[in-house]
Parts: sequence; structure tokens; C-alpha cells
Amino acid sequence: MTGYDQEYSRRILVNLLTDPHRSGKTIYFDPDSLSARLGGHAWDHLEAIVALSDVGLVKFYFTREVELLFRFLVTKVRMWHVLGIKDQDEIAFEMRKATTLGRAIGKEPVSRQDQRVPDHLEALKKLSTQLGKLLKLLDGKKLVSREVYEKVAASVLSDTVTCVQSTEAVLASLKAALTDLVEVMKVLVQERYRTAELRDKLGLNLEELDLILSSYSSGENDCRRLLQEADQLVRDAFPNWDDIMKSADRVRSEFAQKAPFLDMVLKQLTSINEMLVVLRQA
Amino acid sequence: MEELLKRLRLEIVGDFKQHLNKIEQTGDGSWEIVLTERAEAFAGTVECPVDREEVRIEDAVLCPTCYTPYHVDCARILASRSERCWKCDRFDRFDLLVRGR
Repeated sequence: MTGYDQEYSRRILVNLLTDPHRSGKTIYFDPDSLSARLGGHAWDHLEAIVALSDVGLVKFYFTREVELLFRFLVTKVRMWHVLGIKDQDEIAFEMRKATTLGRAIGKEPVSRQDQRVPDHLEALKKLSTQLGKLLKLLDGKKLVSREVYEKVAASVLSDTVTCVQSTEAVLASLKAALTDLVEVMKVLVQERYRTAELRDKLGLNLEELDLILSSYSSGENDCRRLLQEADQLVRDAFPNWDDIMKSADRVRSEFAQKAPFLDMVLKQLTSINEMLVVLRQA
Repeated sequence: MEELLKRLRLEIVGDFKQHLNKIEQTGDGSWEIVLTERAEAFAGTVECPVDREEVRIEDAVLCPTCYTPYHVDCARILASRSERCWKCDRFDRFDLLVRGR
């Protein structure tokens, strides 16, 4: 993407005016045809046309598929940032795509102050260790006296408070980003089924429908890959993830009264797990 | 997923045709396409549908109905065969446009 270029926008306009596929005043955005005639990439063309729309020469109309593409791009960028799987240049480039498309359809990506999981990996590992200690303590409850148990529990819980405080924000970011991703993925699956059903019922064999269906499939695959990355990262941060999830309710009922912060963090971890389960079920 | 960009529809706002060009009869009785200042400012290259080669909009013969640009030579061919415009299939008097060019 090269940024606003008046000359380029003019050339695009001439191409739109003289495109044989134009029907009256309207034409579908065809990046392939524009690339063949002018060179450049789809996003360069879109940026130039958005500049034309800013000066009132072109108006955009869009279907819900385009809106879904916008949501997908924004969510992808958010996940890349939270998981720390791409460098800042790539994230900025992708964000610019989302912003350009947003300008075309009159939507603005919401700016968020998300934390990156890799920046807090050590703190998350410490939290995992503390939760592991609580599990062990719970398992060995019957083997020690009540006084000893209470004393050790108080000590472990006080250490856990610090870990929870330092990981609270990053877990909230991860949970929010995963919620968005799972929601987009669900919509993609639903829309793909709906479109395929419509095609089969009406016996339509249109190029447009094939384009929509293949785009939805590739979007779903991208979402699934991001969930896999998130799953891997969570397991790196919490080596005893499965044990924690299995005993979350037990830990909560035992310690939540003494340590309300534990209830909150376990709820967060459980909802993160619920979203990762979507991946395993898919 | 980015293929879905093709579902974006664009509308060219306003009566752009009046800015693009007009046909005027010259003193010797021939016709010529006049590009307005705004159209000249476009100054880009576009494709002639006959030979699929680039054509400069300033040098092009434009179909007065749909404004598809043709090379002068290509327009002469259409004129000699009395063919209609390859895009809109409505205008068939290219002889008027190439006379004197």
C-alpha cells in the first residue's frame, strides 16, 4: 500500500469510467482487472478509490460479506497482537488494510490497549505454579493437620495474589480477543452453511456463490490456525493447564471465600478454556 | 478471505458524462471529441477493446454513448466495417468520429 496518490486515483477513476463491465453508474470492485490494467495490488486500488470517495466522486455499497471481512481483519490483527505471533510491521500493514476497508464501508476499527501474552509469559508461568501448589495442597489436605493446612494455604494464597494482580490485564486481553475470534468463526460457519444450503435448494451454480463459499472456508481455516496458536501459547504459559481445568471448581469452592481474587482468575481461565474447546470440537 | 473485496460495489457519483467529453462539429463539417479540463486532468492510460493495447484518453476516440476509448486506427477499422461499439453495441457511426483525424 503506497498511500494517497492523486494521480493514481485519477487513473483509477478513468479506468472505472471506461471499464466495459460498468453497468450505468455502478461497477463491482474488481482488483484483478485493475491490477491487469494499472499494476499494483487490490489494497492500493481500494485506497485510491477511498480517496475518490472522500472527495465525493465515488460511493461505496457493500453486502454483509464485506462487513464480515472487515470484522475478520480487525479480529485477526487483534489476535496477532495479543499472541505476539507477527512483528509490528506486519500488524501495522494488516491494520491499515482494515482501516481502509473500514473507511470504504463507514466503520472504524475500535482501538484497544491490549496486552501481549509473550510479554507476561513469566508471570503467567508463576501463576500456573501457584495454582499447581494449591492443587497439591488440596490433594494432601487429609494427610496434614488442620493448623498446618491453614498455615500453608495462607502462605500460598498470599503469593498467588501478587501473581494474579500482574496477570489480570493480560488474561482479560486474551479472553476478549478469543471471544471476538470465536464469534467471527461461528458467524463464518453459519454463513457458509446458509449460503451452501441456499445454493443447493435453488440449484444455483454461480461464480459469486463459489467465491463467497471459498472465502468463508479460508476465513474459518485462518480462525482455526489462530486458535491453535492461542492453545499452544496457553499450554506454554500453563504447563499444568489440563489439571487446573479439571480441578478449577474444587479449588474455587475451597479457597474462593478466603481469596475472592482466585474466583475471578479461575473464571477467566475457564472461559479461555471454553473457547479453546471450540477448536478441539471443530 | 480477501477475495470478498469483489463484493464491494462502487457508484460513480453525479453526471460524470458531461465532464468527460462532448462532441462538437468543427468548421469544416467534421466532428471531434472535446475533452473538458476535468477529463484532461484524469490523464491516465486505458485499454482499447479492439487490440487490448493501452490508449491515452487524450488521443482516444471515445464512443459517445458509453465513452469506451478506441485507438484512432481501431476506430477507423470499426468505421470502415460500419461496426457498432464493442462495448455498448449502440453507436455505429465511427465514421463521423474519425473523419479528419
